[in-house]
Amino acid sequence: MIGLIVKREMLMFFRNPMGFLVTGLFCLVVGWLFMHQLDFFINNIQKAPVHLRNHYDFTNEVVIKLFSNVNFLFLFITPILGMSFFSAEYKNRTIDLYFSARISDFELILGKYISFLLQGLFILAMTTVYPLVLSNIQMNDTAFIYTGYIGIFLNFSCFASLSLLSSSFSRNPIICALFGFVLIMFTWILGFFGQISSHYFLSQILNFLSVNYHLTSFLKGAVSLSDIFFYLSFNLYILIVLKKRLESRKWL
Amino acid sequence: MAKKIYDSVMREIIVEGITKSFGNRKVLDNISFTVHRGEIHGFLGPNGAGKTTTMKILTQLLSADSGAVTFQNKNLQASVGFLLDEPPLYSDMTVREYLKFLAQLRSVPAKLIEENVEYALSALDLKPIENRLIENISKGYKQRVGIAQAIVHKPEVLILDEPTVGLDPKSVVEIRNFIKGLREEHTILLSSHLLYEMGLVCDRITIIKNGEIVETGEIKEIRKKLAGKNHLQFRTKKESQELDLFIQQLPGYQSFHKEKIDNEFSYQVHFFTEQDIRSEVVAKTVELNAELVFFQQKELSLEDIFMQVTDGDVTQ
Repeated sequence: MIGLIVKREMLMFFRNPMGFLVTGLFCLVVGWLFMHQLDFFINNIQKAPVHLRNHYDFTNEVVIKLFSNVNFLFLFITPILGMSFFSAEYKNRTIDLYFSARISDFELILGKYISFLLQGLFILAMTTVYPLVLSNIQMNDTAFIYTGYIGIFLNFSCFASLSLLSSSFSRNPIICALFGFVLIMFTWILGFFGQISSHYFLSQILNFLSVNYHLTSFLKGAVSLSDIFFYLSFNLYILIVLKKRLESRKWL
Repeated sequence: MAKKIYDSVMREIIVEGITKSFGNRKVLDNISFTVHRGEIHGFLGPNGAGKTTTMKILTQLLSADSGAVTFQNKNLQASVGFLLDEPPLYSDMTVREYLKFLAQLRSVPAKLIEENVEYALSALDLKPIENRLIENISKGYKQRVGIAQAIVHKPEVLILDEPTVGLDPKSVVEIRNFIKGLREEHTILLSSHLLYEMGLVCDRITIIKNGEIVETGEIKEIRKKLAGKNHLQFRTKKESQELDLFIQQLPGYQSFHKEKIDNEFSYQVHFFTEQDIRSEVVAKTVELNAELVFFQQKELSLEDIFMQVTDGDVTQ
């Protein structure tokens, strides 16, 4: 049943112009930012005295910034991609088809969540052209590329679960997108407050709860099990909240 | 005795003491009725009476605050076909894709999926538009697709809420005949505001008003109960006070309405009695020389029954 739901959601994604529109805009902006950073880096290198050229680290100046930009754009496009997952089902009353079928709420949620992740992968796949460009200019730090993609994908998985949850709160997709954006921004801002907090423990707690905080190590080329554990438990928690939200239909 | 045994054996869905509130508003108040196997059971009520809420509880889309819904065959509970309110459609799928998706979702064995989809397409005359996107088909066809999705897994119990809404008169007749044909193999709970149509297809009815059941049972039994045996309509050329007095003194007299139409006096008289008083009334009009020009024993229509139990006696 999960496979059936994934198939249907992917069909909807590829038949709906919204998916292509968002993907197209995403590629346009990421491409422009990448070219701008590469150009900026090359200009700086060329202008810098020869003995200072080693100070300009290609990975820091281009690769990490590329991933940061992709992550920043996901903040905006994930709520848009996810706004219709449940709201459209409620609006068209098709949600009743699932609720009356022999599938559990968790199967329904997993089906939608997996298809959302696949959509994220599809969009991320569009950015693989940049590592290919980098490989042509002798960029040998491929580990950064791999860990960066893993980190970005895990970060997207958290944005996706939050967007999925927000799409279950209204029949209006615009309201769902705005609510999803607010939820994602909240996890983003937590890290900001963590950094400016003078209280050590509070700072640690806020940082730990911030989704973006856990991306940092991946962008630096390290894969931390504690971060992976955070991502998995965060997603599981949000999906359980979503399950409770769907169950509430019987009592409201 | 035999009828009671038959009734208990044929019960498919037993609704017992269902109560449901939304906040402080009580939508259903201790409702009970049974739907019999192989019958079409009409579920009637004014807007906001609680019909859709009841149907949602039967399809397990809502939980009741108290009471129980029992399916005689436990396996049926998960395989109820339904169409509630507006048809639940995916506009970005073709009709065939949509029906196939629902057959798969409802666990129809893989080898039977194509057969079931063909059955639903043919039954609702959807073959000509099977490869069109649902967003591009007319409202009437969308309604047909809505009914097709309810039967694509060939459920034994069907719950249909206003299945003929948005259909043209020809389609209404087609769908009516189609639903009548389903009676053989399905148990159907049907709700509609087209009372004439309901009267043609239903074996039993349940009438709900303000969340309470006001009548339930076989149509002919309810008709008998509400109308007695004598609901008379007649016209005379002459007015007679004595005739009026005579009618009001007859056994089982309940109501009396007289009006002058085109120089004739039209009477509508309602009795609650098993006794046949037609001959007495006719004899009295002859005796009083009231010049009887028309006489009819009227049978209550479903519309009359509905109006009588929901809004008051329309025969007045």
